[in-house]
Amino acid sequence: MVTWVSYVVRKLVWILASIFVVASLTFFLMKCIPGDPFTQEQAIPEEILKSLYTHYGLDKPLFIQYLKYLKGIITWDFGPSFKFEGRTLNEIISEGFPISFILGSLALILSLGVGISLGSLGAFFHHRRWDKITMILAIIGLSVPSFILATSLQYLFGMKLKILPIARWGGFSHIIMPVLSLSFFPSAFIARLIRSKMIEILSRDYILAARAKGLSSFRIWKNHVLKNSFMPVLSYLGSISTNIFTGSFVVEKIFGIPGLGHWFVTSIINRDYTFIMGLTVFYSGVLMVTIFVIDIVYSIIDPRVRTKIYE
Amino acid sequence: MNNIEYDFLPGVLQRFWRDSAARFGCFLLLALIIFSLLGPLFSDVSYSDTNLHLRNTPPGLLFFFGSDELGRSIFVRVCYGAKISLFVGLSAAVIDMVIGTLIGGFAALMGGKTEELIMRLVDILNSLPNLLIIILLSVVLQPGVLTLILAMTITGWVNMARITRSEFISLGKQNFMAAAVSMGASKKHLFFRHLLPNAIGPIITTMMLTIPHAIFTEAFLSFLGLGVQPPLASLGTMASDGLSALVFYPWRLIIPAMFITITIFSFYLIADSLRDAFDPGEFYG
Repeated sequence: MVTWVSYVVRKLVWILASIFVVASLTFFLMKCIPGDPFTQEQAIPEEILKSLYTHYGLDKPLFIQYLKYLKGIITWDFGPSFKFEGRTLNEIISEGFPISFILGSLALILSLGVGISLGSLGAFFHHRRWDKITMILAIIGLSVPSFILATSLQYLFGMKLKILPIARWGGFSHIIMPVLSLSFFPSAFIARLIRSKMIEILSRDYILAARAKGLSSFRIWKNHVLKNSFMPVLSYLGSISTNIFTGSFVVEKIFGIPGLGHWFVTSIINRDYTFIMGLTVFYSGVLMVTIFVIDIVYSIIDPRVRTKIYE
Repeated sequence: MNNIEYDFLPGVLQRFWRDSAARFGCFLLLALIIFSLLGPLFSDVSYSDTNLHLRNTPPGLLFFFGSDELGRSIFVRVCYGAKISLFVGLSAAVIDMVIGTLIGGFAALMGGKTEELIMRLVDILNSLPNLLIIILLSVVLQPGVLTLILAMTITGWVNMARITRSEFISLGKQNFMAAAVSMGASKKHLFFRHLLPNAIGPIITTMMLTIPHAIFTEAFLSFLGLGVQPPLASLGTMASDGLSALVFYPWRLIIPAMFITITIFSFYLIADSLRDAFDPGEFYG
């Protein structure tokens, strides 16, 4: 128990340190950009520029700005937008995050389902036709970037066949295409992981014993293979979630979904620095918390990892 | 030692070539390279020539793959864009490999405090969300090919360093290493003559997997408008430009998108088969 608590504390400290690094990195990178947010083709009068600077606190020394920025992050106040008048990042996050979260979790669930089924199919029919087919499908899944899949689906089902709504956010029918495009790559990735782990497990003696006592393939899969083959997926779940997160940037933009990814892309295009900084920090925070939760779950399932420093 | 060097690579190549997926991947990649090099010869316009009378022409005899909103030939631009995408992917992967093996190998050889320090740094870089850092860097620096490569390699070498280190450490426990050390081999000799040749399989496989990843990242960043700038074109920027015209001129998106997919697909096929060829036990197991 003591080792487990110290493991959790160590992980927690590590996360806080990483978020601090990301936040500082973001701040100083953004300060390196030549010009400022108000540099425009038409020169702004001196007085207005000055009052803008005072309003956004840009007239203070860099170090004070940095402290203020860190304080903002701790008190969960990311500040107003430079480009969208009257919008603060807190509002945007509370509006956009639930949408992105629903989208992301649905995509994760779908890709787990598809990945595990395809991977099992490949492993149980190793070296046979089903194995070949699923693995070619998996490589295709890795090769098609999400933005290409999203636009193709949009073109085919939205514009040509007119079965599904082209874009926007609303009922269930709006969710189908974005979730499909987000889950394509992770499904393929999970399928490959599951397949190679299951092939390894299927060659073990206890599987031979299970077969010898006459268990059906389904029972063997359910009772002996599934849980054991899930460990590598769990350890990659962090990078899979990262992938879904970043995929949502473009997918939300393509389908016009008012989620966080959409705002992130818009603020990149508009060079809206507070939004870029704030959203980067927020995204990294969410990612690290996700990875933290996965690590904890992993350590509960597999106690061996608690004592290791490196993998 | 000589024995291994002479028998190892031909065996790998033989196993590689026996795999039909590998042959198909190589064929695709070769076709793509030849296409991107020789394609422009069949057309008398350059990638940046505009012709406002022939805007958005559908694919046909005049423009093999149609033309875009400025009347530029998509055929020539795709050849050009494929070259840029391949260049970005290859250089990012090679730079990652060189930096990663050197740092990872150095850490494994030195051990102790040095190793711990390096691996802590690697851990920090590894826990940061990669693509966010790349996006930030691309926002800050002038967008362009070099920025893309720099942004990708700043965080990219970490994975290679981890793999090299763990590979070197497991090799270090073997007898031939103990023999070499006891005969007084220098660290440099150990690194280049004993460890690197024996770890070449995982290193090359990782590098081959980095290439499609880098090409994907390039396309992704270009799609966000952070990639190469006009009049240059990469496959990602072309796909991004084509998105706005999807309803009326779908070929402007479909053709570059197809090329991106084929490029990434061929690299994955090759990388997968290479891994199996380097590690036959897993494959035939």
